[in-house]
Amino acid sequence: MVTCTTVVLASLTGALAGSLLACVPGLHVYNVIALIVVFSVRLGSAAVLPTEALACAVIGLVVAYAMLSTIPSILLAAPDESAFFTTLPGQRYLQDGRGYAAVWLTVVGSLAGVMATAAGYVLAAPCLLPTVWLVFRPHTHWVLWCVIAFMLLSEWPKGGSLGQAGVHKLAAAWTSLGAGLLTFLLSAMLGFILLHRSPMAPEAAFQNLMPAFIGLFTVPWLLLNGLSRTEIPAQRIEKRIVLERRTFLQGALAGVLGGGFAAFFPVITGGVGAFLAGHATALRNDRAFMISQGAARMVYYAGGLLLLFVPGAALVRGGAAAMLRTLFTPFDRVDFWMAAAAMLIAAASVCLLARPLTCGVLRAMAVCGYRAISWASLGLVALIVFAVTGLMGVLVALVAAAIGLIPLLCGARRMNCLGVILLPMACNLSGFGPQVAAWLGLQ
Amino acid sequence: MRPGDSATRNDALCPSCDRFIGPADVCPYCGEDSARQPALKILRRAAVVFGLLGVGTLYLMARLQAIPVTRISAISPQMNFARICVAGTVTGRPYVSAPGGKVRYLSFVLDDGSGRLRVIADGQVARDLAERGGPPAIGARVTLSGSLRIAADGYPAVYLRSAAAVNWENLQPPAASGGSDAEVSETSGSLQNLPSPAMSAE
Repeated sequence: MVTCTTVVLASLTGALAGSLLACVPGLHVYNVIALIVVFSVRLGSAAVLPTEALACAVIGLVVAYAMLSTIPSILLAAPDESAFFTTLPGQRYLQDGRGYAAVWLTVVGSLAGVMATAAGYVLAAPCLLPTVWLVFRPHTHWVLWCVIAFMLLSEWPKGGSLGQAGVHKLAAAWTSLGAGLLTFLLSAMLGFILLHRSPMAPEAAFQNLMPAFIGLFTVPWLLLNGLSRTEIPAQRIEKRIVLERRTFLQGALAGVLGGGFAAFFPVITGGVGAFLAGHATALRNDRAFMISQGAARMVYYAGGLLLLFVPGAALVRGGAAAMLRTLFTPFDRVDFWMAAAAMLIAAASVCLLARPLTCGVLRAMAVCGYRAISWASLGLVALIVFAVTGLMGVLVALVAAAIGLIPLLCGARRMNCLGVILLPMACNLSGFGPQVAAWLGLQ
Repeated sequence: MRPGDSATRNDALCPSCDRFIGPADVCPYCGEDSARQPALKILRRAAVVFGLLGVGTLYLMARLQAIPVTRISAISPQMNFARICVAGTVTGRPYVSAPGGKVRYLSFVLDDGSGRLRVIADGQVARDLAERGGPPAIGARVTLSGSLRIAADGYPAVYLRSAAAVNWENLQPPAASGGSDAEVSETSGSLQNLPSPAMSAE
């Protein structure tokens, strides 16, 4: 039986470790959990440490990551000249010397996400989730196809508005669209290979997609940071940030909707959920956008993980839940309440760490420079990929990195890289994944 | 004006014709190569080439690489979702679920001497396997490949992805059958001459 002290200590430990690790650019919480699982299995530490404590620590890690990973993603994502016209609001704030304010807004959004997740989890999930999932389960495949269609069709041409009319202008317009489609198709092919006939060793199977995700999303970002010539202006730490109630509510609502959608439906990630919710609620305000990003991430990461603890449903959503399930299986309402407590304890402690950690990263940037930090992070990420998946994983990550660079350098959406999981899973959920794999010779 | 605006505006003009070209690398008016950072231009082309070649190489590796045979005792939670190949003997009576006469699910237990795991086929794969005369009977020597799933209780199961991924040879010597199945039958890929497995209609 788990004690209150165990829950509090494990949650705080997870939150503290997660907060520090969240500040390392490119390091995803799922990579850290993967290492924990690997070492737990190899060392047999699951028998020494209560698995409930491990579950609370993982919840703490995930909550901390969801809340504070915006620190490096905003402060260390300097847009290059070629991307300056398509930058996100957080990056615009950074260029204005207001990176701290941008981080603060996303943390506020994350807090809104915690409140919404706790309310939904405690009040609605146990009675509604099993029934809702029963109703929606047969429809997940076409929902996924709709998301893919919307994602591809809503890409707009970034060029072609200047110069002489004709073939050249048409070609310029199709450069970014074509790059987006190429990225999606190459990612999808990589996904089919990894999901149906992975060249990696069976011992690395539970982290089959990890090298691909690191290659598609992390490596290009760190690589371009290292190569970038952009100078980040001095950042100021604002003592007072005014936030209108309407902006907060609009951002929080969009984020909770997007994050909730992503947490509930399989395969759909927080980014896709926030993207859909942003369109659905016509989000235009930069501040509301950043709040929505914070809320969406928290609901997606923490809410998705907590679905594992809902009695009668026990949905596995997201990598953290899938990995945690290999070590721990929730049984009853004690585990349900334990998970809720762990999330709230972790969220409260992470809030207190947000300001000192943001200031610490700003100081580190001033001392070391963001390029040096990016190169060091790239080395660390490569080491993790090698430790968990071996040389073949590094090769997969390199191929994925080449694909991930295409949208960044050609002005397309990075979201197209999600083809790695969206298309294969849409085929699988529709029932013809094995046939497609057979046509590709991957059966 | 925001910091960086002045520099951005200068960068946004073609160095040759001085017209606004935004972030484009090639001027859409005069065709001048105006890439701000040639390294990024090279990187863009390299990314497309390496992306295509890399996926092609991984595809060929995946197609040509044989799936390694795994001992059941060597299966660990880290191997969840792995594509594995197992060789062993069927123990216990196979289970077939065929509501309305249509096979929907079948399973049997495989023992390779080091441990046991359940082999499961459902949907079309189960029907295809039934059409091939499956599932293999008790004592059959089976070699198969499929997706490994490790349940929450740690018990492993292999989900078949295709009926063609199962090869079996039915061998039932009298000693092994314990005398209950006196008839020694040896068939390959067919179970027509063997007692039918346990059936259940849901």
